[in-house]
Amino acid sequence: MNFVFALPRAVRLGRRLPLAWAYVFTGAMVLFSLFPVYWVLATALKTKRDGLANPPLWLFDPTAANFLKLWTHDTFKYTFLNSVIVTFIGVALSLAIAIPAAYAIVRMKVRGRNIVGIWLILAYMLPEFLFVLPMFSLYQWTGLYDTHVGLALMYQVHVLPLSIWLLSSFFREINPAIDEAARIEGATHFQILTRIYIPCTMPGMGATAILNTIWIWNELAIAIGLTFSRAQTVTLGVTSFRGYTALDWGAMTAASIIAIIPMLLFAVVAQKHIVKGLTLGAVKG
Amino acid sequence: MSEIQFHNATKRFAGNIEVIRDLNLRVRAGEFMVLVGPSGCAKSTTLRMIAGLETISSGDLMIGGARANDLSPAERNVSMVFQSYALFPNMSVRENLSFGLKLRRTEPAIIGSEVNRVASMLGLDELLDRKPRQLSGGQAQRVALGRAMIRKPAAFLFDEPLSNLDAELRVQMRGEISQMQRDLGTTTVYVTHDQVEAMTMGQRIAVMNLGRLMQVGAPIELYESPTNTFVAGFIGSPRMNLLPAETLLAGVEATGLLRPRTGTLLGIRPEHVIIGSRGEIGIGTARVNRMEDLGHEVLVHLSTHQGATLTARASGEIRGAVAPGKEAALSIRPDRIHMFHPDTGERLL
Amino acid sequence: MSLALKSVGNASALWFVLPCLLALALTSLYPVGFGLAVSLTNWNWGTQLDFIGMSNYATLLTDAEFWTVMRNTLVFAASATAIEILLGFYLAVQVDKLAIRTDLIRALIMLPLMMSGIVVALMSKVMFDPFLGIVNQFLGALGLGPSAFYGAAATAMPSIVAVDVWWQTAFVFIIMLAGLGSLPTDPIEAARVEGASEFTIFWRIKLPMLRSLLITVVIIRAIDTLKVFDLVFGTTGGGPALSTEVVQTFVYRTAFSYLQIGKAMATMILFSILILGVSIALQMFQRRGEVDR
Repeated sequence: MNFVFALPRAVRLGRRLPLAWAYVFTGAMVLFSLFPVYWVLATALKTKRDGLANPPLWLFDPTAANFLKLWTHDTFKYTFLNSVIVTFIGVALSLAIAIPAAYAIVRMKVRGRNIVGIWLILAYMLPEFLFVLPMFSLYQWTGLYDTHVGLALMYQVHVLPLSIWLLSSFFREINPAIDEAARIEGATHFQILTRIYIPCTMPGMGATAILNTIWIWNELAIAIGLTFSRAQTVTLGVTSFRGYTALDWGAMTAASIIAIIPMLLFAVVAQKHIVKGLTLGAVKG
Repeated sequence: MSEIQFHNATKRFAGNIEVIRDLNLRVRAGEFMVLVGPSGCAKSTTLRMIAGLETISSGDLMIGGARANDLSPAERNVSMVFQSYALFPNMSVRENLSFGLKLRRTEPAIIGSEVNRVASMLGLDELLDRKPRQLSGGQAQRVALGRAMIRKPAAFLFDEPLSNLDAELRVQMRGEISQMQRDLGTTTVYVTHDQVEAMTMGQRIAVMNLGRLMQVGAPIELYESPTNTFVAGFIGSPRMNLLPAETLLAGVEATGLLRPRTGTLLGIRPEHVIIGSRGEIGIGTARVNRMEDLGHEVLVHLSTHQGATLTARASGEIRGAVAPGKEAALSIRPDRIHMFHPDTGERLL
Repeated sequence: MSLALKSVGNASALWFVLPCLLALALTSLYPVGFGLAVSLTNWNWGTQLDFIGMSNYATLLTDAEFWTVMRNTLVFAASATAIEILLGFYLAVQVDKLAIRTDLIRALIMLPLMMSGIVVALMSKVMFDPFLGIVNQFLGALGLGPSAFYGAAATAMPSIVAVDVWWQTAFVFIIMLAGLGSLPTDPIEAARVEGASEFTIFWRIKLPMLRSLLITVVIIRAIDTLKVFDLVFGTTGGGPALSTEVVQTFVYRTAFSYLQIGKAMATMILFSILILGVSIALQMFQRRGEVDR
């Protein structure tokens, strides 16, 4: 310690200044990330007159009128409900399909494992409209167009690869000797999966489900191509306020806030899972 | 209780790498057989072939007189204790013990009484509701033993079960496993790389090297008459001295008892190299390089005038008599000498 | 011999992966195959359906609009990716230095990432409004002239890039912060004992160890920005005068407004080849570095 204090003043400053800058820069970036959210929330709480004031008002009487008006806005209400349904079906489907596939890829002899791996990367990587345009006509013929199930099914092209990468890295953390012990005890692969692997990776299942939820909830391109009215999701509900820009900021910002609130709650509650999922996804992908 | 037998068993991995070749090994019913060898000798692969976790490329495996090559692990009715214990992390001790019985649709009442019986045998009564991560290494080991014995299998298979335990616990578990096997009389195959475990636990020992069986026999047979230099070097600690005959016995005249031909490889264990002249035949003097004093005994590292190095094991009384840098007189008992072919390493009579 | 056993093992593995293969076949294999076929026709979603060979492709490759759209997409992807990588990595390095718990900071910076692109786009229209927007108020306070943002060809694309940076920088930040946190401490401490400065430690030890992860993040961001749709659709819709039209908005318009499904599919296939090429090139760059080390 004495040695440190004996260092010349300039050296000590040279060590402290970068740290001070790190705090300042981080603070600035936090502000940069949060301010637009705050500002849009503030706008949503303004009356129509306050919202269009020039210069913009920093102090105002908050009103819930814009949010209450949304409640009576039938289209938006239904798109929110549709998103809940589609997200639920989509996530359930992705887990039901990805869990056995990930287990087989990690712990069973699967011929052509590499081909499946490349296929997953391609499905995840290629642009949405490459898949959506041909599906538009198929869905028209088969009656899947503008249905919750049809949309949730199409979302698998993106969430399945991600789910399989995530789940297989969670499964890989389990000691393979546990499989062998269970097989000697007389368990089938299906029993090993349901009685040991799934219970052992519940946090990983949660992280996967959360990331899929966020992606499906926020998706626009596939929804715009494959729905028209009955199954329109909340992103399309928000889009319908696009034309309001210069007229009614209150309705548009309130709709935006409502659309993002479920995901923001996730971010607060499940931050660790989301970070783990994103990180693993990046390392795998 | 079943006999386990390999007939000309061969194991090839992908790319046709042959890891086990023409293995012929018979484990008698009720016997405690130890498979021992250095890492990479395929002893674990052999065990896993018995368990059904590895396929057998050619040859036969018989369990209880029936061919078992194509049976699934479950159908072989063997149980296995793993190095990592491989307890099911999400299940309590009770569920771990009863898992195999449940899968076999045993009556719940019987499962309950069996779990209690095994738990009290192994002293697990207080731990039944704990999860594996709440157990110490020794407790986890006992649960793994319990899981193996509850089904009353045809054979127990152990894959280095003690290597994750500290030294004291290892000695204790060594005793407990031997005791359990004697009480139950179940055929047991036990894999280890530790020759002390092999010598103390096995009724018979199979020594393997590079996928080949080197020798099978009772511990004392391996110690007293190893069939080749590999077994001679592997069993016993410190290792047996192996050196060309002329470098040790140059000054010794051939007698009726000892007629080494030039060129043969002599083996003599450190405990049979006698410092001083109490042995039957003096073999001249050697220079003391270094002494390792372990308290109850002293290991003396020597070099002969012909340039060979060897180790002698002596009692603590030797301390005052020899010192590094000094010469020491050596003697031996001729019946303690082993002779091996210099090229093949096979034992000569 | 054990052939029977093996085939049973494979059969049960097949049952485990079959649902996945079926779902992928329906949602990716079928559309690509069908799309390839459609790209050789002049289909209009209706009764007009003639095989016209490669002429969609030929027309596209000589079409000035197509090349403008391609250039816009590449400009957007390159600038957004570059800024996000630099800013996100720099932020991760700074946050990694902090001597406090960073969970809350991470959660706050992560908020934009949780939002859908269309919401971000609409939010930006409020912020960037030329007359009433708060951003022009800030610029005015700094003595900078008011900007038209989305309203003018010169500023529209930079504005969309800025919005993407606000939206997605946190992704780079989170991955790189995790990467920095998982670096082994021994080599870094050894270097410190040897007397290396923090600057040297970063450039000579930490960066080489993070190189592969950083390139992975570049690949992910590059592909994601090339596929941009919501931001452009929600803000400028491609205007003013094609200045922000990107491939996916162009295809959406071609397919659903002009009903030229053959041309739209041909565009998508050319674009997919571009994306594949970019990611393969980046991956080769990543591999080559690994062999060198």
